[in-house]
Order: sequence, then C-alpha cells, then structure tokens
Amino acid sequence: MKKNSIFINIGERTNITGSARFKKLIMNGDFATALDVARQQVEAGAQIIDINMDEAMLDSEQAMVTFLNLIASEPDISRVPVMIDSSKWSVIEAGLKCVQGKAVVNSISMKEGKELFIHHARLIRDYGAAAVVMAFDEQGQADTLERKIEICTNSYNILVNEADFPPEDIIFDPNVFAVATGIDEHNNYSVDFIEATRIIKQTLPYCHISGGVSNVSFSFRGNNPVREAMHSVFLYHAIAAGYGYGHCQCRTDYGLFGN
Amino acid sequence: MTTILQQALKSRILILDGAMGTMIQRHHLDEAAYRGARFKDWKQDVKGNNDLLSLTQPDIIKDIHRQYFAAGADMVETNSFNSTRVSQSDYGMEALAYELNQQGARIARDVADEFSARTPGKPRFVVGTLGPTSRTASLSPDVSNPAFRNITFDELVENYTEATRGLIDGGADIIMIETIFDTLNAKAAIFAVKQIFGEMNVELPIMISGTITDASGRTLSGQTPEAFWYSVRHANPLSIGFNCALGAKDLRQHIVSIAKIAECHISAHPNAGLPNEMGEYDESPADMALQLKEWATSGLVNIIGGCCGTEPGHITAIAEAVSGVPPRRIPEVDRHIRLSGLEPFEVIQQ
Repeated sequence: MKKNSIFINIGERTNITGSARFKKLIMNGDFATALDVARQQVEAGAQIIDINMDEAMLDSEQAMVTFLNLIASEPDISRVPVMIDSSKWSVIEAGLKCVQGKAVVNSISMKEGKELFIHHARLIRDYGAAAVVMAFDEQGQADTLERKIEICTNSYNILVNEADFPPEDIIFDPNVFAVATGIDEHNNYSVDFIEATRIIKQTLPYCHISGGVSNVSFSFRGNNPVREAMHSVFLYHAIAAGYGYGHCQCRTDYGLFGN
Repeated sequence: MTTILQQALKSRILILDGAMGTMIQRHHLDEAAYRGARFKDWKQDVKGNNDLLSLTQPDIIKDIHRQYFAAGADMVETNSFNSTRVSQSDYGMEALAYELNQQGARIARDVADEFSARTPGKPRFVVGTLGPTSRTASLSPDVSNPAFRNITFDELVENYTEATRGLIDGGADIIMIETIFDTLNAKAAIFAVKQIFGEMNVELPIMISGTITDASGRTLSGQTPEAFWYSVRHANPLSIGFNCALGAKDLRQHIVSIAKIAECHISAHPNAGLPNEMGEYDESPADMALQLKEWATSGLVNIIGGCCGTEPGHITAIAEAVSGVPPRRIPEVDRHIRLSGLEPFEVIQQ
C-alpha cells in the first residue's frame, strides 16, 4: 500500500439495497433497531455511513428524512459524516436538507444529460456536500478503460469549469465490474478499473476514486475464501493506483477490513 | 464597496460594533414606545421586539449606530437579528419581515454614509444581520419523538430569502449569518443567500459566525469548531468566527482552532464576560480590550467586536488596543476533501 493513498471505510449496513436485515427493519418501521445498526457500524470503525432507502415499496424520501433526523439525535452516530445514497434525486435532496455536517452524495452522473448534471452539481455545492460521480453518460455505463477516462474527464471539466464545483469534492466511481463471468470481454474489467484510477489520479487534480470492491468477485458468490482473496489482490493494486473510497466490507458482510 | 472592504482588511483589523440589545435596554422603553403611532392598536404586546424599533423608533437605532461608529467601529450590524417570519410570529408580525430588514439596513446605511463622508479615509460598512431564528432544524423540541422537527430547511430558506432581500434592498454591504447554534439553520441561510444573490444578480461578502454554547466546546447542535467550519465552508465566506455565549477568555481556544484551518478572515465578537448572578455582563472595557489585544498580537483575528453586554466604551477600548496591530495573515491551506458530522473528517493525500 503506497504511502500517499488512504483507504476509507464506508459502512454499508445501513443500505437497504445491500442489507436484507436493514431492509426488513425499515420496512417494518423498526427505526430504533435500524439506528443500532448504524451505531454498530460507527463503533466498528466506519468513517462514513452510507444511508440508502431505495425500495419500490417504501416512501424513500420519508424514510431517508426520518432516519437522518433520528441519527442527528444520536451523537455517537452523527459524529461521522453521512453518505446520502439514492438513485433518485428527490431522495438525495430530501436528505441534504436534514444534515448539518458536510455529507457525500452518492451519486450523480451524466446519465440524463449535461444540463441536469450541472443543475444537480450546483445544488449539491450550495447544500454544502461532496459527490460521488459515476462514470456514466447518455451512451451508458463506462466499461472499458477508454470510456472510463473519457467520461470522468468530461465530467470533471464540466463540474469544475461550468458548475463551479470544488475538484476536491469530486469522488469518481469508474465502475468495478465482475470478472470471470464466462464472457471473455469481462476478463479485463479489473485491470481497466485500476488503470483508470491511475490515470484519473494523474490527470484530474484533487479528485478521489471510489468503487464497490465486492462487485469484482460476483461470479464466485458462495465461495468466500476465493472472494476474499480476489478482494485483497484487487485492493492491493487499486489502492496503489490511488483508489480511496471503498464500499467493501458491509455489502458482502466479509469484514475484509477487519473492523 | 467589496474592493474597499478587501483593501481595508488587508491593512488592519476591522472593528465590529457592540451589542444592540444592551443599548436599547438603556432607554427603558415601554409598550407604547415599542408600538409607536403605527402599531398603537396592535392585537398583542410587542414590547421586547427590538427589531420593530427600526420602524417605530428609528432615531434611537440611528443614535446607537452613531455611537458605535463614533467609538471607532468600522462596521455596524443592522437591527434585524429577529427579522424573520418565524421569529416575528411571536408578535404576530410575520408580514413585516421584509420591511424590518429593509428599514434596518436603510437606517444603518444612512449613518454609515454620514460617517464615511466625514472621514473618507475610513470607510464604514453596513453588516446585514441574519439571526438564527427561534427554531432548530436539526434538533427535536419533542423528547419523545427525536425525528420530529418544528421547522424545515425549506421554511428556513423562505425566511432567510425574504430577510436577505430586505437587507440588500436597504443597502447592506455584507450579509452576516450569526449566532449560529444549529449549523443546519446556517446552511439554510447560506443556501438562501446564494440563491437570492443569483436572482438579484448581486454578490455581497458573507460573514459567518457560530456560537459555542458552553464548556463542551461545541455548538448547541453538537459540532466542534472544525466540523462547523467544514459544514459552512462552501459559502466561500469573507470571514468565519464565533460570537456570543462566551466571554473572550473562554472563546479564545475556539478562535485558535479555526484560525489555523480557515482560508478566509477570522471574526470574533465575544460577550463582555460571562453573566454574573444577576444575569448581567460586567467585564470592563479595559479587561476585555486587554484580552483581545493579545488575540490580535497573536495573529488570530481580522475582524473584532463585541456581543452581549458590550457598549461603545468597550468598542473604543478594543479599537484602541488593536490599533496598529497587523491583521491575521490568511494561511495557505492544502486542497483536500473535508467532511464533517459532529466531528471533522479529513482525507489527506500528500
């Protein structure tokens, strides 16, 4: 692990899309126990807690607001920043209106075009938050090295020059995809991610890199020793390349980073 | 005006005024005086609504501004601390919110212009004040329902938008979001101020001043000074600082904390000590000035004044004490991501 890279532990057990237990608690309205989940993550060393309430059968905006308001009343949880995670802008914005600290939005992208991207970026800046920016544009999600670089560079220039967004508040997610799926084209996905990380860190000053580590080993689900070994190797190279923010331990419950 | 202000800040420590409330109390105004002719038949009592005096006793407010400028203040704060709909609702005067801000700024503008004309070498500035309101957006007033809030971010944005519009229309040079005990309220104020600047196509400098409530060393909403700064840094303010609640002695350490990390000016307007058993602030001008002089010589501040209990005598003493002392130099701060919850979180990549 290079000296100039820092890996940040993001707690994801408060993500309804990744934790069956958390989902059940929220769907049953058991916010008290859901708060315990958040507290345990912070106690276990999460430096940021990811809150995601995306579920079709739930009023996600209301759940986000309620949960963030409850967290605000618990100093042992709210001492750390939150990551407001949703695929819906309305949920993100509702969340941004509840946090006194400087949060991270997860995520925005150019998926729905440049105009909306700038609009959201400016609002995030004025609400006082940082943002995860997905390598995604109107043509789709970046898979190859070239596409990852192209979209991230494009997004960066728009954010910094047109949306007046501070470059240090940009956290790129150049997409970690599963390898060994049986499709040959997928085999180079990890190398592409790591290479993209290296180039983005070199060419786009002050930004950060994030990504869901556990995606890489998705083909081996059920075989934890293999997955853990893959994550170790992947992280070794990714961190050396400048990767900084990881959603790793909680989505798969591996506890890869010890906790 | 902003350029003149920037130049003044480069050359010296600027002096902010002292307390408004303390000065108003000296007049022992009764209900009838608060009401004036215009509100003589108002449906409820308005005594204590100090901001209303901008409409009903403008000469008293003007005179207070005059006394502070005469004492050596470079900038006075408008009499608009409670001039938001939500705060004025205590008196049924929500509809006056815009006018209170606009008139409050107009009065201060007139007096500032009067003094600037007299001493062109010492320009005087009007600081349009946005107070914290009487509600908290990140704390529940109901102990049995911690998720409950009696004000929303959007309501605060509406309140602050209207107030800021009044302050700008009345001629404020600077907008100050002050006595912040809940950072979420301040973030709503920043959001509103930025939006209204865009709408009106103006951009005034923003001053931000938080309040460290007590010996816990945190805001009422639980943030440390560093976390507070990271939460409001996106305002790109002219200054960050603290006021109220504490006297100079207890406030110093918190000013030190942010003076090291903030790449903008530092302001401070402490109380005249801590309240005595009568609830009065009794630190003398000389005692307060002596402490603030040490702050100045230690390079901690760029803008300094007084809050509760401070009077023109304090401002004179402070202005004399820091006269000729160079202002704090703004430090070079590394560019890296800074997040916060109640505590700061930094990711430093060298």
